[in-house]
Amino acid sequence: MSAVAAMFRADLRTALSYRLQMMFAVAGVLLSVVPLYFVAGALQPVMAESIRDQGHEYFGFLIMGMVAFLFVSGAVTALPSAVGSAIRTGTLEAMFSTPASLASLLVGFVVYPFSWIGVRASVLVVGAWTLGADIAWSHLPTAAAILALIILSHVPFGLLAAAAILAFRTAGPLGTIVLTLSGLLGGVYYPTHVIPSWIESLSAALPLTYGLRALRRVLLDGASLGAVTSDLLICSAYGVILFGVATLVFTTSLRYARRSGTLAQY
Amino acid sequence: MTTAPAMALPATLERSSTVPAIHICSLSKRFSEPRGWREAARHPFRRTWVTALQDVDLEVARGEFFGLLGPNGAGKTTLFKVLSTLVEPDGGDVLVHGRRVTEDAAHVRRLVTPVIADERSLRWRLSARENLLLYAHLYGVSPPRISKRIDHLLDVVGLADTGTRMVGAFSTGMRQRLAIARALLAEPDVLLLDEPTRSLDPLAAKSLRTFLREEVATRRGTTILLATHLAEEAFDLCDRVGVLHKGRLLACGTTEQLAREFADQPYLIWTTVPNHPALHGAREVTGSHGTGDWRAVEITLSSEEQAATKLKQLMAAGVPIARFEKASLQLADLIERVVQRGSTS
Repeated sequence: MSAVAAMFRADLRTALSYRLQMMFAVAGVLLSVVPLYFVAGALQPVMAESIRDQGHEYFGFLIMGMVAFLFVSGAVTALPSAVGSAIRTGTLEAMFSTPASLASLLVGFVVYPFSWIGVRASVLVVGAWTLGADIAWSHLPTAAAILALIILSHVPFGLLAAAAILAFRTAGPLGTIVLTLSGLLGGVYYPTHVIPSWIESLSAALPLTYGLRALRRVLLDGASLGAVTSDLLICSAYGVILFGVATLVFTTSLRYARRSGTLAQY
Repeated sequence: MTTAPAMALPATLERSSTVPAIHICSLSKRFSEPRGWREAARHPFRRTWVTALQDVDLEVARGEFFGLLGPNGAGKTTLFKVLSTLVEPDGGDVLVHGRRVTEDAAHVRRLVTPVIADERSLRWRLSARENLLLYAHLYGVSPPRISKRIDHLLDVVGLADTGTRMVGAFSTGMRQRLAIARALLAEPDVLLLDEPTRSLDPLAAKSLRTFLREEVATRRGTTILLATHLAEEAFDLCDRVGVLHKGRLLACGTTEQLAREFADQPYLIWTTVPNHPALHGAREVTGSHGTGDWRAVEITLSSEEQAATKLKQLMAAGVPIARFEKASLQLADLIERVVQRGSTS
């Protein structure tokens, strides 16, 4: 078992020790599908025209938006939250003094949170499918790959927030800004082309806009990978550029924390 | 005092028995002091600094048991953090087995393991065994050996019967023992122990000391750096000790050497006439009642030769003496003398 797998196992065992909390979380996700179903049904006549190239059905459209947003939230908040918590509890010092590589420690910090999001997202999708959402199950592997791309294009924001925590003990408003903008302008609840034109350009600057559009077209409309290539390329470009910048900022921040002696000090 | 040569060293010295376990040359570290709101608003760009380590020179041989003494805030923990690559030095050279901590940190982490005795650093919702399992993988212990190694260490630290219990239900002493077991998982070449017996009961502390001396230091040949405030650890366990004060290493040597250089050795004389003129200057030890009228008085003498002379004088003066013995040196006295001399020099 590698360091990453060991960290996953430890986090899982910790989470399982809070059994009731875990059961309530899953039940909460399952129950949230029902009101979404009725709200989406009520809005279907209004939304039908604007989402005709992304599955026609507003219920499926909404569920896919929420699934993607769950993962985006995880990408932006899981690492800073884990690093902050490890500093507060003192585990960061213990882990950073082991020979485990920095990359495996960082991946190890987020592997359980992402797995848990995966469980909740699956519950959401299966619940929606049970209530009649039209999902192209044969495109599931492609959709999973697109979802991974969406995550990778947002992980750099999490890395930047974790860097800020190492250096300043706070991530500031970074996570809130990214999530608010992505939630409101990334097409989670409505297609981006219904947004007023004066802020639509802001929507075009968000990686979620492209990733989510591609995800819906593949999983709800049954589009092929070729049909969403341009959206995926833009999303990938965001991921590559932001990842480079975030890695540089994180390593600089880690060095600063080692120099200032605040690596494990809250 | 062992002083490293103040010359530039190659980035990586060839590993050989001649390369010391730890080589520290002119190590300095200072930290910026946190400021209040008012001070930060008045002088946003001004910083005040606290010196944690200043021009520290030290060499520790492989397999040596080295004690670090000094009052709180002396710089012991900072030195340990530098050695475990958690803090980067401002200046000077720090090499572990010939590897620089700044340039070869990943390799140094394979050689050095600090005992992070902070009980919060354990996973409280996991069992002791699960905690050790996690760190066994982080330390890169080979999977087939993990289970046996965990069993052995739980046994060594006296947690064999409670290995499956959640750490949150442990006492402070039990958590400290688990933190020690965690560090020993790695079978490191250099072990850093910061007051390891602080929260242990006397029996557990004694058992741990025996284990460190016999198993870790003697049998495995692990180099151990031990920060301690306890005389029995400094005098009985350590081959040499160093005294740190305000970031400076003021003295370094065997406890006998330091006692000779910095503090006179106290002797206890058991006599029935503690007020005899030949015992002028001696201090009666309160509560020291032997059988009959025998009382203990304490005198300080600078050498064993002087002790022999004094004994001869007392015999010649007809002072009845039942015992004439070396008293245990008080660690606080030794540190105080070293610090006093260091402050005046």
